[in-house]
Amino acid sequence: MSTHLFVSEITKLCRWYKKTRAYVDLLSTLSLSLFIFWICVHFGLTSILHSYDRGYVEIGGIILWHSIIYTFSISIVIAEILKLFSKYRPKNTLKEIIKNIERNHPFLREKLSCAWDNREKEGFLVRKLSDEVALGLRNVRYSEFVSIRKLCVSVFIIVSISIISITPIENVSQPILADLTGAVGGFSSMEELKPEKYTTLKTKVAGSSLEGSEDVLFGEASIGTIEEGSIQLVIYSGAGSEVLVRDVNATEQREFTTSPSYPVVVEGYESYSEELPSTHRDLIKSYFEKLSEGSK
Amino acid sequence: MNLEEVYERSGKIFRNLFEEIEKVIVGQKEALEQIIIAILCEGHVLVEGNPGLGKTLTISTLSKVLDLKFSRIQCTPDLMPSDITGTYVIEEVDGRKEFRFEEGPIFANIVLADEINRASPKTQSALLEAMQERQVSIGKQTFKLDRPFFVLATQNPIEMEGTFPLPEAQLDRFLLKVLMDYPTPEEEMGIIGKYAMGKPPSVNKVVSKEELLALQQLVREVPISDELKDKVIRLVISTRKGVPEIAYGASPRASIGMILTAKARALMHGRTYVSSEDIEKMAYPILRHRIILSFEAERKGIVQDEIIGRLLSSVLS
Repeated sequence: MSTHLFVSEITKLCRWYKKTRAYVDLLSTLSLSLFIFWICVHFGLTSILHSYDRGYVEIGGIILWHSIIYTFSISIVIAEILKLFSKYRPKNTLKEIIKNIERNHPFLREKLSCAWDNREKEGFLVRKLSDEVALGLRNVRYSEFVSIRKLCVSVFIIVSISIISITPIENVSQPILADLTGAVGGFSSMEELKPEKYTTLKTKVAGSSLEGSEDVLFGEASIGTIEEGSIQLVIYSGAGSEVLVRDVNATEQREFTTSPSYPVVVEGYESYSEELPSTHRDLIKSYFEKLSEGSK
Repeated sequence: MNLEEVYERSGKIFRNLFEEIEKVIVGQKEALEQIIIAILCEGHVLVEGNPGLGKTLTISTLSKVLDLKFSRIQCTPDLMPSDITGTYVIEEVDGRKEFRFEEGPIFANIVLADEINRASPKTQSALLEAMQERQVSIGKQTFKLDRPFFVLATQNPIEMEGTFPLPEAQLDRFLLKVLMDYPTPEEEMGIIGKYAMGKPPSVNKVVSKEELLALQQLVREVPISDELKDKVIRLVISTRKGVPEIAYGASPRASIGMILTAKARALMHGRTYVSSEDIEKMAYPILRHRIILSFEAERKGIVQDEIIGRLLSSVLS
């Protein structure tokens, strides 16, 4: 173990740098993940995931849809992979520290590399050199090791995406953005969407209550199937005066159209429902035939 | 002598040394610095330059400012090896005749071999053992040479008739090959002022033998980074292959010499570490006599320094 003063100075610097780098790395990973997440949401990945898993969890009154959690997880993995292959990925703390010092203090460059290579040696010239380096290292400021530009970019991305996410979106063309709003901001609108209780995902068939089913469709966020398409909807008991459509399958909003309970299809021959004797029927038939011939 | 004490005084020692020599020698600072560096590394120097540039004067002045035993050999084609090494002479002691060894001029601390290329190959090779082993073998006896020991040889590149170019093996034994160039007009004006107007200046001894030995020891203590060592090795290896202009490259002696002289230069400039500038400056005198140019390169008029410069820029960049 070297007893040179500058070695302990560098070790101290290394320890501080490792800790700081961990925070900066976390911040940059978070910003990159958020950026990727934002792209994924816009390209509909969350919608696709939601079609497979429509579950959610509630944390402190905030609803987090499973699809959003999955999207964010994927974003983190992608961000980590990108960082892993990025040339800026730090490899060796000590090397990085020394490189940084050499870049910012060129006069120390040769002294430092010479002192470092001879740190295990003894001799008064080596000791003198190490004292000179230690003196030079006192002028090294800790802030030199943090890239302010990188830090600002990270904070800017985090703040920007957060602002975009928590801004209320009116006339949402993509319903999933409302999910994101709910997930990030926990808006009161989500409270309206919140089910009374969450057990398992329920699938209900629209109109089933009309057919005498026990399931109650009104006032509860449910998945309904209409014309072979899944939609999430809330039907208020006030005679369907307001219907909130939350289509999680399709990327375009679909209009909820009310249709009769029973299809009304009338065929001409089925209109004769009276029980007439065949002679009467023949008579009426021949009357109409003669009438049509006369008109010719 | 305490090394720390010598280090503290080294600045003053070098300053006095240069001031004293500059009383006699005008200009030639780089050549002078290189010669002193070689002395600090206990290496031999081959000084090359046209006649009248002060080669011999520089070396003799240096020997005067250093408190060392100095001898001069004027090399001629009829110079015999025994004229350098010494020989046994018959001496009468108490009525009996005995052989006594009479030391030659090689038994000194600084040996100036003037116009070394005029000596015959046999005489030149007599210097080989002395230069490398720092000992002289005569008959069955071997005599150790006193330390410090340097051979400072001069030769001029013209008047090649009647000369014997030094063999490569002997050239390799010189740590540095120092080139002396013509002085600038200002320097020449200074030379005239010193030598054509009044009495030639005299110098004092400013460095003792003990101080010089301690400085030599100190040079080896100067630390060098692994990065620079690696660059030196790469530079020397690069002379051995891949350069069409070079027929034969430098030996590992060049690597040792370059690191050692770079250390000496660092010490001389008051640094506690070797910088890449030291390597760059010392590469030329270390490599120029160790690189044998190909016929094609010689035909094109390419000189060693040109190739060294090219190799340096590729290795040190």
